[in-house]
Amino acid sequence: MDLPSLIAPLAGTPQTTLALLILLLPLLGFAALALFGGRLPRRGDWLGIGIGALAFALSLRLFAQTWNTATFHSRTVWFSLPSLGGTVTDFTAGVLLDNLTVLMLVIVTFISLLVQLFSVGYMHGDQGYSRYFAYLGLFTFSMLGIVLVDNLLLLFMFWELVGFSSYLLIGFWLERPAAIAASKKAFLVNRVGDIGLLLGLFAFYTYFRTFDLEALRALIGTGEWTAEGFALTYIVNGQTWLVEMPTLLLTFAGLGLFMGCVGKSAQFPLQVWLPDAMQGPTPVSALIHAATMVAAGVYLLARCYAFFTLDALTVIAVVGAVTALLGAIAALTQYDIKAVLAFSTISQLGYMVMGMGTGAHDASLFHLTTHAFFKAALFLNAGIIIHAMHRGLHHTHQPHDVDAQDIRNMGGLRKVLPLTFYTYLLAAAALVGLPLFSGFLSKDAILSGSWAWAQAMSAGGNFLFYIVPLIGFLVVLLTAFYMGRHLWFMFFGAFRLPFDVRELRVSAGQEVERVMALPVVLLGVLSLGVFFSLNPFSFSSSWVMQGISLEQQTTEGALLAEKLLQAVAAQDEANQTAHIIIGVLSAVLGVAGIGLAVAKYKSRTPEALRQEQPQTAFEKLSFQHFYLDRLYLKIFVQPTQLLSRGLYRLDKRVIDYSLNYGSKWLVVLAKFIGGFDRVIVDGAVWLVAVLPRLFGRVGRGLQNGKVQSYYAYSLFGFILIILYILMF
Amino acid sequence: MEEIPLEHILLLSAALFSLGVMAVITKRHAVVVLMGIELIFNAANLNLVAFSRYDATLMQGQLFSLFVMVVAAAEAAVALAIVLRVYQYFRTANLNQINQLNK
Repeated sequence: MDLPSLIAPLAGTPQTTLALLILLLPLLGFAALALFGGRLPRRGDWLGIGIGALAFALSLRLFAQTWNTATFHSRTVWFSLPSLGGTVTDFTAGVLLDNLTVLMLVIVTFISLLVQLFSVGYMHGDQGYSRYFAYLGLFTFSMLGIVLVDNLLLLFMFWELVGFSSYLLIGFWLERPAAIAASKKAFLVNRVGDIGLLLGLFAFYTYFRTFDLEALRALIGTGEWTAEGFALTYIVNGQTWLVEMPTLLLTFAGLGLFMGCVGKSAQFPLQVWLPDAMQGPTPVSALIHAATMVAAGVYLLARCYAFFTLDALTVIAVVGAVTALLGAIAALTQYDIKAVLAFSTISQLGYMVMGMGTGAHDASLFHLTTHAFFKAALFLNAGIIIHAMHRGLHHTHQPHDVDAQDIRNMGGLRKVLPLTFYTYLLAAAALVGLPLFSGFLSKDAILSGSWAWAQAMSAGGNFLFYIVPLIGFLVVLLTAFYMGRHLWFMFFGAFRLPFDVRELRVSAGQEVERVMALPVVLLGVLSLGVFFSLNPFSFSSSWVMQGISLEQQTTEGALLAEKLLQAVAAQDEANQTAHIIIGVLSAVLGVAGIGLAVAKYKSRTPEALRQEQPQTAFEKLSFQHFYLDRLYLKIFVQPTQLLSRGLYRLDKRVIDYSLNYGSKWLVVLAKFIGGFDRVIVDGAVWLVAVLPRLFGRVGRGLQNGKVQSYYAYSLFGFILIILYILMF
Repeated sequence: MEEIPLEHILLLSAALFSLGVMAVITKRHAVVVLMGIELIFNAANLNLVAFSRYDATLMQGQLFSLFVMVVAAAEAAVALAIVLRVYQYFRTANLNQINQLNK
C-alpha cells in the first residue's frame, strides 16, 4: 500500500470548513475577552455566551449533516521534513468528521454553553469575571481541537492545551493557596500521563510513518499477525518497506496511548489530581472535571481503538475496574459536596475505561454521553447549593470557619430548594442507574459487555476474568449507597446550622437565579432515558449506541484485537437471558444501595449527623482516599524534594563555595600581578625617566653660571690629569 | 753668597700659587680675583726664573718670565676693562651675583 497516497491532501468540504469555524469561534472569544473583556459592557459575558450559542447551533447543523450519513475528512500538508534518501516526509493536518466527532462536538458545545450561562449567576460580581469567560473560551477551543483533528500529533497539541486551560481554571482563584497547589498538582500529574502518550505516538510513528488516524487504521487493516508479531508492508517513494512489530512492543505502544488517558481521565494510579481540582469554580468542575475534559481520555481510547492489542485491552479493563472500585469506595465517606461528586466522576470514568477494555466500545461512549449530562447537572446543582449556603452564611453572619460545602452542615434543603432537589434527584437517579434514566441504559450496556468479555476471555478456563464484571456490579451497589447518603445528608431531615433554612433562598418567592435554574433543569431532564433510547429498558435500541458502534467506526480499517472483539460480540449476541438478568440485577443493586444508605442514616439525630466523623479503619481509609496522596508524597514528592534540596545544597556548599573561594584566590593572584606590574614594570619605566632627570639636575647644579665655579671645575680636571700622568 | 736651594723656591712658588687659586675661587669681588690671577702668574714666573739656573748661557727662563709680565700687563688691562663694563652693566662687581653664564 502506498503510504504517501494514504496521506494525500483531501479537498475541503463545506462541512469541514464549518467545523473549523466552530473550532475557531471560542478562540476568537478568548482573544476578545482576554484583550478587551474588562472594557466591554457586562464585562463581556454575553460575548462568551453568544459565541457558545453560535458554536452549539453550528454543531447541531453539522450533527444533522454527518450523523449516520457521511464521513467528512479534509486534509492538507502541514509541514514537510527531510527524510531518508533525500526525500521529504509530509506531515498533514486536517479535520475528520464522523459520528464520534459530531457527537462529542454537540456534547462539548452544549455543556459549555449551559455552564457559561450558569456562570453568569454563579460568578456574579467576581473580580476575574471576564478572565473567567476568556478561560472557558480557551478551554472550549482546546477541547474542540482534540475532538476535530484527524491526526495524533495535533491531537497531542490540543491535549496539552486542554491540560493548560484546566490548570488555569483550577487555579482561577489565585488568592487561594489550596487552589494554586491543586492546579500545580493537576498539571504535574497530567504530565506523567502525557509522557506515556508522547512515547506511544513515537512508537506508532516509528513503525507506521504517519500520525494520521485514518491512514493508521487503513495500514493496520492491511497487516496481518505472524508468529513473531504484526507484519505490514507499505511503499514509500517507490521503495517497499516490510515492517514487523513484536506483539509486546505494540502492546506497550498502546499502553503508552493509554497512559495519556490515565492522566487526563483520572484513572488509577494517577487519579489523585481530580479531587483536588475541585478547588476551581464549581461550573468549571461541571464542565471540565466532570463532563468533557476528563472524558477526553475515553475519547482518545475510542479514536485509537484500532491500535490496542488484546493484552493492552486487558490492562485497560483491569485499570478501569480498579479505578471504578477505588473511586466508589472513596466517595462513600466524603463530606465535601464536591468531593463526593469528584470521586463519583473517577468511579464513572473507571466504568468507561473498563468498558473500553472489555470491548464495549460503544457502551463506553454511550456512558460518556449520558454521564456528561447527568454529572454536569449534579455539579451545577451542587453549585446552586454552595451558592445558597454562602448566601445564607453571609446573611446571618455565621462564623467564617463554617464550611459552605460540607454536607454535614446541610439537611432539609428539600423544602426550600425544591427545584434543585428534583433536578438533583433526576441526575442522581441517572448516576445510580435506576431504570427509565439514562445511566441505567449506559451502565447496563457496559456491564453486559464486560460480562460477555469475561465469558469470552475465560473460555480457556481462567475464571479470574469474571472479577472485572463483578467489580462492575459491586460499584453499582456502592454508587447507589454513596448517592443515597449524599441525598440524605443534603435534602432530608432537619437543617443543621443554627439559622432559618429559608435564608438560603434568593427571596421568599424565588429559589434560585433564573439564569442558573435553566441549565440545571435542561440537564436534569436530559438525564431521562427516553432521550437516548426509545425503549428506556433496552440499550440496544439506543440511537447513540447504534451510531458509534464499531461497525460504524471501522469501515475501511481493522483492529489489532479484532479476534477478541468478534468473540465478545458473538458472546454478547448469545447472552439473551443474561442481558435481562444483568439489567434486573443492576436495578436491584441500585435500589438496594439507596435502601442501605437510608437505613443507615434514617435513625440518626441531626446532631449526630452534624458531628459525624470517619470511625472504622475502612472509613478512614476511604475518607483519606486510601492515603494515596500521602503515599505519593512519601514515594515521589518527598524524595524529589529531598533530591532537589540535596542538589541545591550541593550547589550552595560545593559549587558556589569553590567558585567563591576560587574567585577569592583569583583576586589575590590578581593583586600580586597588579603589584608586580606597578612595582617592577611601572618602576622600570619610571626609572628610565627619573635617572636622566637626576643626572640633569646634578649637571644643572654644576652649571650655576658663576665663573669661579667653572674655574674650580677646570682646576679639578687639571689636577686629575696631573694625577693620571703621575700615577701611570 | 750661598745659593738658595731650588726646593725652597719651588715651595714658595707652590704656596704663592695656592694663595692665588684660593683668592680666585673664594673672593667675591672681581678685582680681587684679578689680583689672585696675578699671584698665579707670579708663581709661574718664579718657577721659570728658578729653573733658568740650569740654562746659564741663554737664560731662556728669565727671558720668558719677562714676556709673561708683559702679556700679564696687557691681560690685566683687558680684564680690568671687562670688569668695568661688567660693573656698568650689572651695577655690581660681586661675582656671586653675576651668574648670567648659564643662560
